[in-house]
Amino acid sequence: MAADDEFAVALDRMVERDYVRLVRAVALFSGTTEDAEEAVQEALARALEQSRKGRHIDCLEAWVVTTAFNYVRSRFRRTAHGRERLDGTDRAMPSDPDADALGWQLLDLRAAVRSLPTRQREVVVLHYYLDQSIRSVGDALGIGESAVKNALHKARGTLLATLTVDNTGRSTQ
Amino acid sequence: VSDTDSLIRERLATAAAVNVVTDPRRVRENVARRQRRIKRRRRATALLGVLAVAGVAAGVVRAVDRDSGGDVAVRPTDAPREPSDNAGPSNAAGLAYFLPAPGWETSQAGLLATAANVPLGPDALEGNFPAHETIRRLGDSDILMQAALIAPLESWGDDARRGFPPRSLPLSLDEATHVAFEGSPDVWADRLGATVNGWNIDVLVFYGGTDLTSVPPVGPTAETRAAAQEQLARLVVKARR
Repeated sequence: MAADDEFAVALDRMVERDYVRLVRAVALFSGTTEDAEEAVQEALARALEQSRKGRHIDCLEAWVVTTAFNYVRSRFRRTAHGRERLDGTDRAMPSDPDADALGWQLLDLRAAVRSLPTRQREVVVLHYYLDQSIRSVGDALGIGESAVKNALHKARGTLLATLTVDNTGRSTQ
Repeated sequence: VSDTDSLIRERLATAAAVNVVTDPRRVRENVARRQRRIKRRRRATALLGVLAVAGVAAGVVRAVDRDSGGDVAVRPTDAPREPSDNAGPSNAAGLAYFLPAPGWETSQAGLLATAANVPLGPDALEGNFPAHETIRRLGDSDILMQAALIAPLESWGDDARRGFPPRSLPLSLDEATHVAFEGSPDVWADRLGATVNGWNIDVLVFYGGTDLTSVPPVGPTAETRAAAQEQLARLVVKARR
């Protein structure tokens, strides 16, 4: 029971300190903040349930984000529009309201992340955005370190291509 | 690679900076609500699991019951008995059955009664009519006999008794015709139609060691036919209500 309470406190602290970062990480994967918030809250609830059942979670942050990824994926699979969002084919956002603030290059970077195959997208978010080590990413996704490195290598090429494209002539209209 | 990684990290951090309104209290409430939902879902899943297991168990019990004498009764026996409307296996649910006799195995499945002086195959026990798998195993002097009950429908009108003339028990093979069946075309078979106790009855008797394809055809011996007649005389048909 004490361990249970301890875990609840740790989770509470995570909500206070890291909630926004977690939601942003999942939003990179899913495409919308609303979906990401829902997925992160669901993952936190599942983490509490795991703890209540006496199961230990090694890296809470990676576990929560990976569970949120899975939640988003299973929800999106249920609808055709969701599947488009899942595979990134709806990534065109010609009048994105964030365009002025962020600039096209960064918007394209978001779109590029969402156009990556699921595994590469997961690896990119966990490693590049959440700063998880290669080993932690592998543990969280249940794959080997070489598979993580391979996915990162492929994703790096796609993302770099986006970052080196000249977008100076584009308008937000 | 490290410069590239740094560049991607830096740009990704900026690109991911979507506006998230945080209210820790609301987040905690939502998480607690979801946790309650997870518990409810787990309880419902467990309940469904229990119901599914109970359903499967009930199905198995029913199947075992059926296989052990509900709808199908198999009984090799030693003691001959006289036919009677009230005689027969104590657990007989069938409306027609063969009384047991030494060296004969009988079964009943629904409206089908089967008897053979060889072990009945699964097809016969399952109620196949004719039971070709058992027929193929028949050797010299072996016999498989099946009687199928058919309830005449009013819509059949005057044709209701076509091929099923009124007869009385015990039936006689002297009134049967010999036929060849698709599936067992080379085996000699006797077929006898009758209306008994309100039922149309289709009786088939297959004889092992026969060959309809040879010239002249090889039929059952007189002894084999006599044995078949003795068993046919043990057919019991309950009156149709």
